Amino acid sequence: MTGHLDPAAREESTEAAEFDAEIKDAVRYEKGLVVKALIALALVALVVLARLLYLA
Amino acid sequence: MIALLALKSLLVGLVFLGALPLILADYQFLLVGWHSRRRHYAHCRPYLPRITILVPAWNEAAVLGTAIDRLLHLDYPAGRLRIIVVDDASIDGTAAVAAVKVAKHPSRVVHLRREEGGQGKAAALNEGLAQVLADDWSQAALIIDADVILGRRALHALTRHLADPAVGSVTGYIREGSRPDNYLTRFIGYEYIVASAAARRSQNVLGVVACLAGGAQLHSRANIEAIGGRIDTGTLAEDTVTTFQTQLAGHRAIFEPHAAVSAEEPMAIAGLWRQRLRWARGNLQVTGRFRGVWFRPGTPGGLGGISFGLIWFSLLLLPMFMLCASASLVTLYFIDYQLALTAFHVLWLTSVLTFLFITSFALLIDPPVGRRTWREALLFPGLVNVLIMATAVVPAVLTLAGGWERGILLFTYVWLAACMAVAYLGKLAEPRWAGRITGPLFVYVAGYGPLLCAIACAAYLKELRHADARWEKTEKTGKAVSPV
Repeated sequence: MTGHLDPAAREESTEAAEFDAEIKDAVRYEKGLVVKALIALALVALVVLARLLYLA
Repeated sequence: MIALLALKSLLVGLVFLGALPLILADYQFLLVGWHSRRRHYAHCRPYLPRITILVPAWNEAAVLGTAIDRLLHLDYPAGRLRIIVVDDASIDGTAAVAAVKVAKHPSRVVHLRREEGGQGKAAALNEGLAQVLADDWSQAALIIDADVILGRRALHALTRHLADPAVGSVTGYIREGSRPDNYLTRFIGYEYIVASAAARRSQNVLGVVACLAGGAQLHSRANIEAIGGRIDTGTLAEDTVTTFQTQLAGHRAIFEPHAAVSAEEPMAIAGLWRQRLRWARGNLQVTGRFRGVWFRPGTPGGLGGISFGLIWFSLLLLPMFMLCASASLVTLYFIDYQLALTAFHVLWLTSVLTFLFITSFALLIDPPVGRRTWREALLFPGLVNVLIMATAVVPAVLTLAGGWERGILLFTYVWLAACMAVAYLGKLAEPRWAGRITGPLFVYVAGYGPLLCAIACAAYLKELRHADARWEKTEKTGKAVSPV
């Protein structure tokens, strides 16, 4: 079907596809930050535990 | 007896006040994790407005030609993009460079020449904004610095937010881009993850942005008109004033972390000092200028929110907190040694936990920059402060000092404030004999963070003395490379 579209419409559809892909990537990246925050918090928890149990 | 107890309570309170900026920093970084739930993408649409890019240029011959070429080759419909170079009475080859580009692209590049220059970026931008509003062509205006390089799709990433009429302006993620880099640009690179990629994400979550990066801010035409069609020339922080005005006018300001923008940053302490002194003085001026908004939750745009106010003032007054905590610890040391030690442990344990959380998270937020700057990230507070944090985690280390324990503790209490003075020595040492070694040495030992605090102290003094607020531009040489 895309082959029958005029150049302007084809450009618009390409633009929409790129937009969707970029939004999807951005949202995935932002969701990944939650995991990264948890990794950082886990590191903090480890140090707190070590301090309480072994280093106090 | 009661007076002594009251004095001790006050001193302990002042020590703990030093932990407030740390707790607020943790709070901001926790909000970063929340960004995935409070993002603006649901309101975005493919939107390609006609954009005028305003490039204020004051002696930018070294970077202007390449900058214009790069802008003309951005992935954006050519018929929807034009460039206005506002030549702020440059005395180098800026006018000639601009003239060549105008001759080559007469329909896309405009050269505005100001005959009287040096009045600051805002004054130059106002000439460009007048041109933007003079006809109906522009639907948006992008304000950039001549040295910044936008990623290939950065404009798309910015404009998609303007599809939401509630949004007035959008800024991108400014990354330090100088290549080859040096120790200072690596510190700045890491700092920008913390201050831009992380802090501005948290501001998106809070619904209020402190500052749209002056190097790349996109405004809708409606927003430019709403803020009066002009940029404030009364402060040294025109970008922050514009950000506040945007939100006070009822428009949203958005940080788009996926619009990557690369900028050249100072490679010497002297250049950094000039740049940051301007920013710090600008922030003090903004604080006074908008004194009616702080801690008034009903203020439009969220600027009067309690969280936002606490974050703003904790950064603005950070050096004061450090001085107060240091002085209080030293006083407590002489009147109640054990109490001082306990307060010290609480303060420094908070520091350690904040340092671990923020550093590890920040390095993960932008892994490519993190891989390049992790050493500077670890030494951001300075080598001595990192060692002090280690003793807070492993107090037994102090017992190794034997009879020196008390002396070492007194040193650590004093160092909390003294690190700023020692970092300042880096600035003094840099232009002298062996300055290429001693300058960085002072920064690594005393810390890049304390260096920024020293600059903030200098800004306090300049503002108290009502010193001349000249626009001291950062020299750019075209060392930045593309962010993509």
